[in-house]
Amino acid sequence: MKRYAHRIALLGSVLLASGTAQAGDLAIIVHPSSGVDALTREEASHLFLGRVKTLPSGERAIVLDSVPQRDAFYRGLVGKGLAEINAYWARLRFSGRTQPPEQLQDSRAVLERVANEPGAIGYVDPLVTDKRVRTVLKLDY
Amino acid sequence: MRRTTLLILFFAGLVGVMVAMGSTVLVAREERQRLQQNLVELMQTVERTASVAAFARDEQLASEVAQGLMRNRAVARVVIREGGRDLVAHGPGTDLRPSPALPVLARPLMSPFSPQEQVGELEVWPAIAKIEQDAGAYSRFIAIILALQLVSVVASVAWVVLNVVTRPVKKLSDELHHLRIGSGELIVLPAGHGHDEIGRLTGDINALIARMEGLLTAERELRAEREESERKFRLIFESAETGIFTLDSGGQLHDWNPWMTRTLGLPTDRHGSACSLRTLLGDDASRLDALMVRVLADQRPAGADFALTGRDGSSTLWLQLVLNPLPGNLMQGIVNDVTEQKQAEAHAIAMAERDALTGLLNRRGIEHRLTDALRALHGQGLALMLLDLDGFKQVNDTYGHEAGDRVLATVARQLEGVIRRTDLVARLGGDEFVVVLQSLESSDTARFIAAKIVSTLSRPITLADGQSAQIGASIGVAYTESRHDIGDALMRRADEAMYEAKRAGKSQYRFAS
Repeated sequence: MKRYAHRIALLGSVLLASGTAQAGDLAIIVHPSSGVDALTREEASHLFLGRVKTLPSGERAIVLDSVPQRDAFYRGLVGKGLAEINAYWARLRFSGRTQPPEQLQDSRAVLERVANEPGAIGYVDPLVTDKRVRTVLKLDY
Repeated sequence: MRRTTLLILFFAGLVGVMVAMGSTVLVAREERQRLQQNLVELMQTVERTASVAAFARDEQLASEVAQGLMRNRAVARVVIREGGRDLVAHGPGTDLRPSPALPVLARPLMSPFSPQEQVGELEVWPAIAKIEQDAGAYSRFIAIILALQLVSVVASVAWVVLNVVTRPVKKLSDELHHLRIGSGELIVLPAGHGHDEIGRLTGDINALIARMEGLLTAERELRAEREESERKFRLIFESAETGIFTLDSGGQLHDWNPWMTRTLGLPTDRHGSACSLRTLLGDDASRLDALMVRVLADQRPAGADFALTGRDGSSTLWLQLVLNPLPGNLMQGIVNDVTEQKQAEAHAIAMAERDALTGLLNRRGIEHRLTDALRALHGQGLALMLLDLDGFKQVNDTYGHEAGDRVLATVARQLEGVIRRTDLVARLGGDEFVVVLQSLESSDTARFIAAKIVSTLSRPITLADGQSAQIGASIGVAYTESRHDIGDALMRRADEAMYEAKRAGKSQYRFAS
């Protein structure tokens, strides 16, 4: 945590210096045409952990993981480490009915998918977001 | 003895049945609780997966969980709920009725990611019939085990009691039952019981028998001794030449010995008839009463002599009676026949009043009787004659003392021949005689008799050697009709009259004035 705190402080100073308004570490983004403006933390966790399989707008959700931020994301979202999240998915994968999020190699790949698919939802470094996507929840810790 | 064993079996069986019944109930309850606990643990095992299934609303995973649970035969139905709906429900839903003993178990399913958020519920319905069946089977098994154990324990106890206690005790009891006390027999120690209670009991019984036999022997000896002494006493009592009896204060005889029967004519049977000593003594009964009163009052022995008219009516039986006080107003008495002593005594008295030569009364005898005769005077006359032989001294001097004695004896016979039966004759000493005439109508009879004596004695007396002696008699007569006259005075008056007759020429009589 000390490490992250260090980075947050560093990022904060960079962001402030760059003149942006973003204060969190990660941003959950959706396609602008998804009809979703904002998500609560609970809604987000239900989507990312397979409890809810559609977006509030009714569109089928395509959930995406960004591998480098996965640990930080789930810690920030539900307070669980990767080992627990993996064990959870292992149980569900056994039934074959609920699939875990698709794993992409970094924030940029996630950004590209969300920008191109209306049902997609993922999380990225706020620094990489652009106008093609809409940030619906910022996770700050 | 078989009863003891049967009783042990009966009570042990009773207790066994009760224990088995109680244990059946307890075991069934325990088994139910155990199965219920098993179900709870089973639910805990699958809880996490069920939570995940509920969270992810994954029917497939929920179904897997439910099927896994249903494999347990104690589970009848499994329901996993998510929100308000059944995510999955396995097992028959209609014909299951929860029982108070085995309620439906429900567990809330919390979100795997936030422990405060409930995402569903896991419900497990116990298979009541199966559980009851299992519990019943188990408790029956336990009951059978218990029963078997009990039967074996009871059988062992019964066997031990029978062989260690009952049989030896029965053997002892039989031996004791057939034992003849006094024969010197003892009880045989049952084999193998030398050092236990049976052995000690045997020893004690034998010691008791020995002591009892000792006591019996002592008792027997004592009884023989007592019988012997009793026999001696009875012999003394029965063969005593003395009357022995017991008497109550009413003069009634209670017991008496054979001497009494023989001598007094008492009945032999002492218990049949009442026999009164008072009646026996007749006129002397009042003297017996006085004697009894004295003995009982003073509580000291006392005695008296009683005269009894004999059974033939003529002879007199003299009895000396001594009474001894006994407790309870009774008296023990002794009777002796003293007739012979009394007769000897009377004879001695008679002899003391007789003149040895003539057999007539002597001076003492006549004085004694004269006093009595004077006292008995009652309107009649009494004459006292004093008689002195004339010429007796010459006979004595001429023919000797023997001739003199013969003369005296002859005179005595002649005097007795002259007087009447009621009259008295005495020799005072020497040639002096006294005649007392009683019951005289007047002094004429006295004159007549005096004249007859004078004439009789003037006849010659034949002596032993054929010679004859001539004597005579001078008589002085004192006549009285008064009972207050004294013998001595009469004697002096007769004496004076006799001297007057001598002076007047002898061989005649003179009346005192």
